[in-house]
Amino acid sequence: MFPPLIKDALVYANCVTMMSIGFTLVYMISRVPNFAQSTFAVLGVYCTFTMVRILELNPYIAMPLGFLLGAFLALVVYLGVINTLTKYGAGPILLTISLLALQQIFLAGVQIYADYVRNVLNIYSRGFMLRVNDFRVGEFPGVLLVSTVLIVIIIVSLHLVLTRTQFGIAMRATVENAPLAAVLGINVKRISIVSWVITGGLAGLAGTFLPLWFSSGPASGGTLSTSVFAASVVGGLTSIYGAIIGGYVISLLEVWGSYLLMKQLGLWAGAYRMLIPLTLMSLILMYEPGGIVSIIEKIQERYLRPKKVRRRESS
Amino acid sequence: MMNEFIIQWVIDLIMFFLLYLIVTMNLNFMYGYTGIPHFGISLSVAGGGYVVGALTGRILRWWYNVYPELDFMYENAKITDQINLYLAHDPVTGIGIFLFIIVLSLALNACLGYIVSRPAIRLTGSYLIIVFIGMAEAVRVIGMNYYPLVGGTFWVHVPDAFAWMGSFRREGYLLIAGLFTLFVFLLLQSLSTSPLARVVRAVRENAVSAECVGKDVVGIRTKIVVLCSALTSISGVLYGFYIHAVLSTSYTRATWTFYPWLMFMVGGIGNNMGATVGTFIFITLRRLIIFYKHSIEAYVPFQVQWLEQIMIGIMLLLIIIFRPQGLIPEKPTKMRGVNYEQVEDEMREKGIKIPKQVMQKKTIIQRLLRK
Repeated sequence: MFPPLIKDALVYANCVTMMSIGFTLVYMISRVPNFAQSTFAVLGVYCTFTMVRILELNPYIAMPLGFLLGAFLALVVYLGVINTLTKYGAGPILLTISLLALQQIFLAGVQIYADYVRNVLNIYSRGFMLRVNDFRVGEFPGVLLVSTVLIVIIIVSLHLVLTRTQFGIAMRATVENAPLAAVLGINVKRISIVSWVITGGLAGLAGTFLPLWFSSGPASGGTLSTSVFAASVVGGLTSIYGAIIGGYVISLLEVWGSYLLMKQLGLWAGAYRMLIPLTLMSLILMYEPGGIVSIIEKIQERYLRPKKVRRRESS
Repeated sequence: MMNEFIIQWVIDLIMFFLLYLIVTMNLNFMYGYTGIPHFGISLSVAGGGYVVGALTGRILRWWYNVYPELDFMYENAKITDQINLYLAHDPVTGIGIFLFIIVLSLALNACLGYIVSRPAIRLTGSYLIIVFIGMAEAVRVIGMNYYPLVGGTFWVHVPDAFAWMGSFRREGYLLIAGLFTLFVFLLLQSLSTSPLARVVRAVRENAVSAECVGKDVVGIRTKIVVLCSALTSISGVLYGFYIHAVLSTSYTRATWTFYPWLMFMVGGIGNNMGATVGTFIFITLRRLIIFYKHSIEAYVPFQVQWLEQIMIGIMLLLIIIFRPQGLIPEKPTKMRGVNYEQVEDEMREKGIKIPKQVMQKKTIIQRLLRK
């Protein structure tokens, strides 16, 4: 009835979109590409693994845990490294290098945990898939339903926060012009902290879904990160709505494109799956560096501006 | 026995120092001088390695006509063994194939550098970093999955082009690697005092004003990436001939992008001396860690390499926080044919304040001579 390909694509798209929202949010406020983010997802993956394989509990208990763990680590990263470096006057390149260093450190930590579980507890800890531990409603797997409901809640609440609350308006002002916002009495540091916490939490949450549908391990952060970068760049890195559109466009094209290629050329084509988001990202950067957001703006300019001008003339 | 072991350890140390030095100097020229944050430098090293792995054996098999009926990848060890027997008495072909592979690798990696930098070279900062990281990952994925290239996740043997050296082979190859490193060093050093270096620094400091005075910023950036990608691939070629094998899984982001970045951040951005010092410190440290690794391996329930990665990551963070300019900071470029003493005297006569940096440039010997 419901083709498994669409399930694959939707679960993957939900995870990628959660992460690309965070990536774009941090880029908008701190002007830093958060390369450590994919590692937070790996932490989420191991949260679910620990819940199911070691403690033998329901995998969904791992979700708030993954969110909190990611959020806490992001807070530590921001206060410990990013904020300190910014105080010393470091540019975006130095911040990027430090984030890559942090990624190495966290990933090595996860590897140590995986080694420990395998050697001491004798549980296979790399390349696991926990599909059997998930619940099912009819023919829909639980992870599909839960992740879809969660992403809708996240998008709606983010939209409401950004447009209806004072904090959201302060956040948008910081994105537009941070020094000016600070002059007007907005606490820019608090807004940065909140954006980092949201990013880390969402990445951890996205990670907890992964092992319930895909084979995952310490390397799954690397495979996910290319899609997240591509989604954010295609979204334009300037608006959260762009990140949402980019996330769905890139991950659906990636899953369906690789499926089509595998059907046409043979199973070997599946290994080159990450070339699809990379190619799309390169094309967007070559022909429209502003991403989907700027394409939409151009269309609006072409078809909607004459009306506005006329209105101004008549009044 | 112990003596032999120490000699091998020292030769290994020098060899890896030379290999990494080539990468670090190019990285330094790209980031330190031009301001291109090339976070995918591992793809050039991998590119060099792939050229060696894929072509050396195939060309030599055709040249000597060894087992033309066998599949090159599946019967790799057998074919390479036979080729090595021929090469042991044939220095001309050995040197010829080595030089040919180097030239080929330079040409192919220049093309690869162009393709890789094309999408985002117009843009700066984060976009460039994202594209470079993605491209390096793509090159690695292709090497790991395309079996005929370098044998996928298995390795491919590389014929020993210097087998004719006999017992002197180890030291002789070190000498050749040293010559190539010296060539890269001299080339980059002479470039860094040439007019090109001043243009390149102008591009780094302020691309808009460089464009205003008529410099083709995108063209210069592309040229530098192409040049440095080609030169970096020499490191991959030398590495392949050194260990007689090419293994696609060894060109990871940690070993060939992250460590070189760390090395030249330690040494100092924007000068080749800094890159050299940083590389030497780091390689010595790393070889010592590898040497003593086994003594703690028995006591911990995980692989020690993860601990090493954590240590190196923390080291980099501390350097970035406490000494972002590195051990040897950048100095202003000297122009050839300008008498700086005269300029200084003239400036003093006119009452112009001389910047502190220019004063520091004089060596201690010069100061003593003046007194």
